Amino acid sequence: MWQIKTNKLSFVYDKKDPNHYDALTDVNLEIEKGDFVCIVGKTGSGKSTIVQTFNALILPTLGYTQVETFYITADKKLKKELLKNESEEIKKTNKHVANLRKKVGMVFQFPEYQLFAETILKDVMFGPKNFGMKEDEAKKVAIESLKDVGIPESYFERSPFELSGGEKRRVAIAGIIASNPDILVLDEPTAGLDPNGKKEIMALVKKFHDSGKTIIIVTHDMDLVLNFAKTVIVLNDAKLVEVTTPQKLFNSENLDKYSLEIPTLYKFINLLKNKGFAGNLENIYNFDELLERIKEVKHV
Amino acid sequence: MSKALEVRNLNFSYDSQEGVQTIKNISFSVEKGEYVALIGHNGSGKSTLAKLLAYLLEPQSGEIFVNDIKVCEKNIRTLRETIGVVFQNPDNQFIGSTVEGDIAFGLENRAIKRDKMIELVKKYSKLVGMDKFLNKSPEELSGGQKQRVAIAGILALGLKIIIFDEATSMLDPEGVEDIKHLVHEMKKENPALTFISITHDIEEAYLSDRVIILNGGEIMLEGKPEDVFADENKITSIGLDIPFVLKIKNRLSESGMAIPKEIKTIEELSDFICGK
Repeated sequence: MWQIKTNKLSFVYDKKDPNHYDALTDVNLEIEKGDFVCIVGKTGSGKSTIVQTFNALILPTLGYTQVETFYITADKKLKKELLKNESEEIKKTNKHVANLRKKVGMVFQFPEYQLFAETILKDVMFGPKNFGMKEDEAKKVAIESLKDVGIPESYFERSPFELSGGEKRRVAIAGIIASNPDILVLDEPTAGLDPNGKKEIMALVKKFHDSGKTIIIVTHDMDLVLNFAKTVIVLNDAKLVEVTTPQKLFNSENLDKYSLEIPTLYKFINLLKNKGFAGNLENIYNFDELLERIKEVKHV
Repeated sequence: MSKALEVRNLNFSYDSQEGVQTIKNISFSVEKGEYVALIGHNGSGKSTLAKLLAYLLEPQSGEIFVNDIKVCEKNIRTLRETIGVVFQNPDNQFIGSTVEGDIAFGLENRAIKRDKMIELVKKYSKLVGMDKFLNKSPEELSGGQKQRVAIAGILALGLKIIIFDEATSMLDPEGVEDIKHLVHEMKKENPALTFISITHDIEEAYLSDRVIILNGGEIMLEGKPEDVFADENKITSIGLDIPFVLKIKNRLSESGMAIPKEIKTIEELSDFICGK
């Protein structure tokens, strides 16, 4: 059953501008509850734009995005039409965007740049308080979230600015998950982190996914896609071009067309294939398997 | 010959972080025209070092010379004309109200003539693939596009030393390749251009002239890439990766298959394995 759907979604930045361009064109998409989705595509393909419609930071110019019973569109006539036959409760829910934002947690690129409070604990408490929680309640969930992301208690009263890049990012994510969203959207969560930082962040995201949440990640990091995604959505020039699995995507001829980076492992395998490597290179999914295959052929 | 950079006993700590020495007594130098990769995990002091080199932070003690110019308040104008940094987060760097204005900003500060300025803005916006967006405001651009603009702004200045602090981290792979190619072309055109890349891209570091690894505010290893990455255990112990090609080479040589030292790319390695 889908949890997020887009219907003929188009988005145009500033229609009055004679040089305006379409950021998204006629996108029809369904995302299942509990899926682990990676959205990929080159810069300007519309990746960040589409996920920002999921919590109504961007409103589709044409068509709509639907998150469960919440309709998102800039087309007021369409929204009225869509809500016409819905229940009073749904109509009421649709009046307050906070209902949607509570459901869809959004972690932006470099979220650590948005940390602002004097202490780490206060920073994480901000979100829940903003959604109407009382001070002590917000404190409770903030402490839990910080523990979830692996920030030790001795840090709670420190300034967020004293943390390393990976730690800051974990605090920023704690701020989002403190509001207990059903859907977590992360825009380039591993950008600018070292290998350890990446591992920490992705372990955290995986834990969140294992607890039943839907994960949607916008990324250029194809190793992340290979290792974590169940579904890959490919955008190219503002259009949806493929909904597939990582294995299918990296074995497909279309990668170049979409300007996607093949993981180094697959690049190397393709080179070996093209140069007539005297062994079977199908169904290799990791470094060690490849190494074994080379050793077999080379008798070492 | 004078050096592009000469760093002697550099120390630095942030006021907000009591008792934490971010840069610990660092000394090194960089030759003119060198391509140096500065790597290390988050929090190792890389970005702080970049800011110190460009005099965006004041050292606690120690000295830095940029093209023989001492890094200090009184030389700030000359320094700004010699060395520049592109940072990771383009939002903190976008100053103009449009792409055009942003690229022109640094040029205006250098009192470059209008005709020349228009020419430079055109040239560099085209080189980074942003020439069709000159009238766009930052809100209309993606993170990667803003990063391209920041890169154009620095490259247009004709500096002698350029530091990229994770400057391509928001670009897609094609964008990263474009910028790598652009830097390569600029270095070919002007071999004296010194380039320092602060990066997590271990493959890029492997192809640089020299690698410096920072750990806990100190230089842990420094030298030619093949020497620096030779000690796999040491590298992985501080949370860094080994270049893909080297990893395969090391595993195969452990099993008794000798692979020539010159092989550095997957193309070369695949040729060798397939006996080409």
